[in-house]
Amino acid sequence: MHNNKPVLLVEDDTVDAMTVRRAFKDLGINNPLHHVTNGEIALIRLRDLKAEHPCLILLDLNMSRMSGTEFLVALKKDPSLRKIPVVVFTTSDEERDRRNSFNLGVAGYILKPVDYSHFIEVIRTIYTYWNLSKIAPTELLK
Amino acid sequence: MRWPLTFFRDLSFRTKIVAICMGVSVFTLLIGGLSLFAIDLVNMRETLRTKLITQADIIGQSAASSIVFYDLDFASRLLSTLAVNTHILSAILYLQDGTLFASYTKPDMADVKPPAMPAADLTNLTPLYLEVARPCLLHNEQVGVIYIRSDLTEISQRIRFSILISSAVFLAAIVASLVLTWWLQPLIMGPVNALTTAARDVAEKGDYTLRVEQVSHDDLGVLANTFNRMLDQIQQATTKLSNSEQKLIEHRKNLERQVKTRTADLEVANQELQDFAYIVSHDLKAPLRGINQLATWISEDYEPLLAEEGRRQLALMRERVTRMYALIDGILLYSRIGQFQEQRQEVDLQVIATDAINMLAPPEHIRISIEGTLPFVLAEKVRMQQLFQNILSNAIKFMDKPQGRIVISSKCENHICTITITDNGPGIEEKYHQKIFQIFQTLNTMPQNKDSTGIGLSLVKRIVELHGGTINVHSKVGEGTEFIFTLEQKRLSNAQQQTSSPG
Repeated sequence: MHNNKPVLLVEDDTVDAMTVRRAFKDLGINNPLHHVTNGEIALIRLRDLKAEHPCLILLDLNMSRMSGTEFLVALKKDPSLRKIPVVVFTTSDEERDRRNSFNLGVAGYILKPVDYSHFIEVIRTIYTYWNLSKIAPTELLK
Repeated sequence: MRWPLTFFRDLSFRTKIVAICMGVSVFTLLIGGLSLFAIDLVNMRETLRTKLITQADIIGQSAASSIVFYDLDFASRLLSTLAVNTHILSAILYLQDGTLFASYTKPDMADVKPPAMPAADLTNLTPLYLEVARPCLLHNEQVGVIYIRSDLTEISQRIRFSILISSAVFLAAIVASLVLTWWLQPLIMGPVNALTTAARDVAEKGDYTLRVEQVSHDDLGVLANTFNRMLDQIQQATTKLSNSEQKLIEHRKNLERQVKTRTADLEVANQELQDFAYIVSHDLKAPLRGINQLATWISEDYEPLLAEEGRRQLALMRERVTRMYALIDGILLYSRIGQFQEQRQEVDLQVIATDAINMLAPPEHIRISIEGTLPFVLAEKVRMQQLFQNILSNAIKFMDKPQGRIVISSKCENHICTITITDNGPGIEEKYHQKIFQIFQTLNTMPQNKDSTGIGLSLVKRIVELHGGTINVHSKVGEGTEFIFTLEQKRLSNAQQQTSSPG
């Protein structure tokens, strides 16, 4: 993806995180994947001035401590963070989760496939899209 | 005849009593008065006649000798003594041969032409006068005839007097009876009024505790007693009624409370169910996915280390996991129907079916066609999509013929549309016809149905029934299957009805 900026994965399931990491590896994606296990840690990391902002956040919704939705609310309230595109990556096909997420301005809502081959396809699609898509100007991301 | 009756009927009871008493009194008085008057009249006439005959006899006796001696002077004087009686109009003495011997006429009367000699025993009453004739006897031998005519003023005066007295008595009696009636009518009217007032009070105020005082033991007493008994019964009935009404209100309040409690319970239960569905969808699926991924990687990364048996077991494990995943999805889908209801709207089944066919992209050898045009129905759009997708995908999935045919047709009657989806697939044995609509039944009972979770048709049935319709299956093994379900037709507005033509 653009400039090999990092991708932030907010995911509390170890295997799911492993799956994403494995898919990145299998697809030859060179962007560093930063994995945190809940929204709270994700916010701390994003607000760390020394750390580089990610070009994309992959967000699970169902997490202990701070759920994906709560994380989204906090993220979109923060003017320095709200331009970072977020793709929800979840098991929930619930209407209210989809509605909430899009109301909070997510860039995409993707269901985690059960099968690894499908999983890898999804990650490939996300990668291709964000490789093609222009991201917000750098100064906005700062 | 009708008017006086109605008039009398509508008079008050008091006036009726007075009127009846008065009427009877007047009638009695009139009858009595008239009878007395008639008797009096007859008596008076008789008296007058007797008096006149006696007078004639006295004159005749006295005049007999004067006739024999032809003493005209004496006879004239004798007759003139009659002037004492002012009612005597004239008197005539006839000789035996009929010649007029002497006569008297009331002084102020014009000369009356003397009649021819009457019979010696004449008594004649005319409307104007009474005339009698008597023989003049001397030693029992008739020597002449005396004739006397008297007016009837004595009678008419008496009649006048009688009428006067009668009228006075009549009036006095009327007044007396009026006063008496008036004075006595409370005896009857008192209890009647008490009854009337009580009945009116009961009717107007609904006060059934009122009672009428029973003052006598006559008919009115009985009536009052009966009235009181009736009030007793009404009061009892009313008390019972209001008691049961009270109970009913109490009962209704209880019911409302219960409904509220139950509704609250249901809301809690419903919320819990939703939470449960949510938990199932995430907390059960996540580990499954993990197991699946790990199994995949083990079989990929450690392939050289695994024996054939190990690889087969891993594959079996992944197959089971995939099915369980699908089952969880199916349960979720099934439980969500009815829980979240969309607004029902006008849905064009033609569009829904066409979209479903396009989405399912049937293989070359299967042709899906729509007969005629499918109707508009009143339904939840998403559910209609699920309905068609499920039935059609089943038909495609199980198609075993080289030339697969699936036909969708419809028929609407009385705002109910019957949709039929027919295929020429393997068909379903009759013993499974009901079971296929039960959740998970397909999975357990139909060996050829390995890919299916058994959710599809139960979902279809649930959707149809939630829309108030029914679903049936007709099938012959080897020949094909026909699914028939009903949906409520969208009611056409007037404008649409005019422009649309049948067929």
